[in-house]
Amino acid sequence: MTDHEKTKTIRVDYLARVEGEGALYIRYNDERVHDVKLKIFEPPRFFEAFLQGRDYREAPDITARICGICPVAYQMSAVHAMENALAIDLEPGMHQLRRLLYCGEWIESHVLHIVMLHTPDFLHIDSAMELAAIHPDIVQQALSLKKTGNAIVSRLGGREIHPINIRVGGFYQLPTARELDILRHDLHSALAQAITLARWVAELPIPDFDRSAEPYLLVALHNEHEYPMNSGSLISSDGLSLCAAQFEKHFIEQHVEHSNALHCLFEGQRPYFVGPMARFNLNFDQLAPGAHALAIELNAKPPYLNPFASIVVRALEVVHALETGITILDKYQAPSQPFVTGSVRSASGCAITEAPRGILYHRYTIDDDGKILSAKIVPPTSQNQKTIEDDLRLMLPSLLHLNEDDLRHRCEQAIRNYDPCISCATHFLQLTLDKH
Amino acid sequence: MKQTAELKKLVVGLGNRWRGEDGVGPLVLDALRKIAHPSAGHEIDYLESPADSLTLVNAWQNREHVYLIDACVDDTLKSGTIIRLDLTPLKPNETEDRFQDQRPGTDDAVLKKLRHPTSSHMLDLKQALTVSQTLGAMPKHLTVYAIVISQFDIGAPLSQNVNDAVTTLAKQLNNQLNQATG
Repeated sequence: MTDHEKTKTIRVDYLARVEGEGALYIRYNDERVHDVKLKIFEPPRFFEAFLQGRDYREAPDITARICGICPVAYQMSAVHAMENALAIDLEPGMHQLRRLLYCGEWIESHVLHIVMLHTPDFLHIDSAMELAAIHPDIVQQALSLKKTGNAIVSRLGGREIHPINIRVGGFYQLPTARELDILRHDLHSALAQAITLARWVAELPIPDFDRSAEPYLLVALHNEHEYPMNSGSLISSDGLSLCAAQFEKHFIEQHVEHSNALHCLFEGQRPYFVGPMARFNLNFDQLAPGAHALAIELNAKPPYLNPFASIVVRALEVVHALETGITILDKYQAPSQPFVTGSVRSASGCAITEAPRGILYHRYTIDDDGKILSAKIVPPTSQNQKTIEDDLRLMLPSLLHLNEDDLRHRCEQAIRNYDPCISCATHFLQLTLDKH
Repeated sequence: MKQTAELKKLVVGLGNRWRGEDGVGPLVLDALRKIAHPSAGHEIDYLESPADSLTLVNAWQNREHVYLIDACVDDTLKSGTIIRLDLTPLKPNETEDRFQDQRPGTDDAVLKKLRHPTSSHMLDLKQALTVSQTLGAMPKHLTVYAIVISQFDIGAPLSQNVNDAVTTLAKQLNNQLNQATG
């Protein structure tokens, strides 16, 4: 029997319970893994190209359409980048409102992923519908928590998905004190549910996986004063510390044949890991007090690097987001006006914020009339893509005793550890017009 | 954890009002608001095309009456036809899964033609119903109206048949709501 004959292939032609269209291809034999490809075949979406020529004020609403799960992240990176370009300063109350809005999106996105998409993997069931039959109380809690996240985004953003109230310089309209009082009540009720959910999630059977042979390079924002969402320097587990303007010098995107999403590598060579696990490990001391104490209770303390435990970290981040929201509302002082404007001029600006799935970089250049000349967007999933492939490559040798169905299931679960958003990752395409 | 029933009726209009006849759900809501008695606002909640079907599950649970309007495509029926499904919760001793019966004209056959999510992170209407059924969170009375449509070009006007169906259904709903609140 030749080596070729002994080689086996795992194919998952259409990954379920991830956002967008992707596939998995693994070729291996009894001795080693030959090839791992996370294939992203969702068509390119041209966002960077069709932003060209649009008014700078349109960027938050256009880029929000990249994703129905994390539109706030796109809006936040876009407004911060434009404000960076135009040197617009915001009042503290405005920063707090934006942070509250981001908390809403983290809650929406994380709860959906934890309960509806990822938990079925741990219980060896296929769907949230089956989960509802086995653990109706958990699904009810998730629905209630998601409703709270939706309420925050609706109240501040005008609607729960693809908000319409966000603009460069602030908001079109500020929430009233009464609206925020209602939200505060909702958040207090939801916090107890989130804590219960986190404790339940921590009891799920988490598969072992050790990456000490090839340690992760964790990359996240860091802010001494708060767990990162809208601002901070970019740091790594290897001691890197950068500002957003230095991002493109160190994080290089490249095209690979099997993916319509660019792979982004540190210094063009090294895969890295963004998202809840990176944030948590690099910002543990900045967690809200209740989430911090709960993490210690659940024995989730850095270094906490098993990617299958990302579900626990997401649950802790939901607790953190609710606590943060309550604190913001307790201390909130309304800005003196809904938005501020800057003088439009030829300029470039960039920003990084923490989307639910990890860092999201935006850079824009605008002309004297405020028209966008160029745009660059680096979403979290394209940054994690190579790390996902590496996880699979490193994980498989210890799993070859499993039957093919179980092996395929474990591989899909490993991909869902990253809550990949393929629709976000394929927004790219550099469009070159050759005019003769 | 049984909550107090929400006595306000809920009327949900699904669809994209900018995509031709796909917008019949929101357009029926518009027509209904115009003819509803001014005091009806205290008795009725309106919900237009929530982007997230989980919002539906949250919005309709514990309600006494929910009316849901959507567009559907069915080549065997004339454009403008109104299909009505009355979906009440299964009783504990009922084991038949009516959502699995795929013969033409059954609940499942119609539901499969209704709202489909634009994202793999979202539920379709049938899944939202299944989750609600499983959780015991179905409204006591859920009436689904599907209007058969034939075109959904961006910005296109309604055909006469579909326009008539919108008017007819709004009047019909107004009568039902008046009876239910009266």
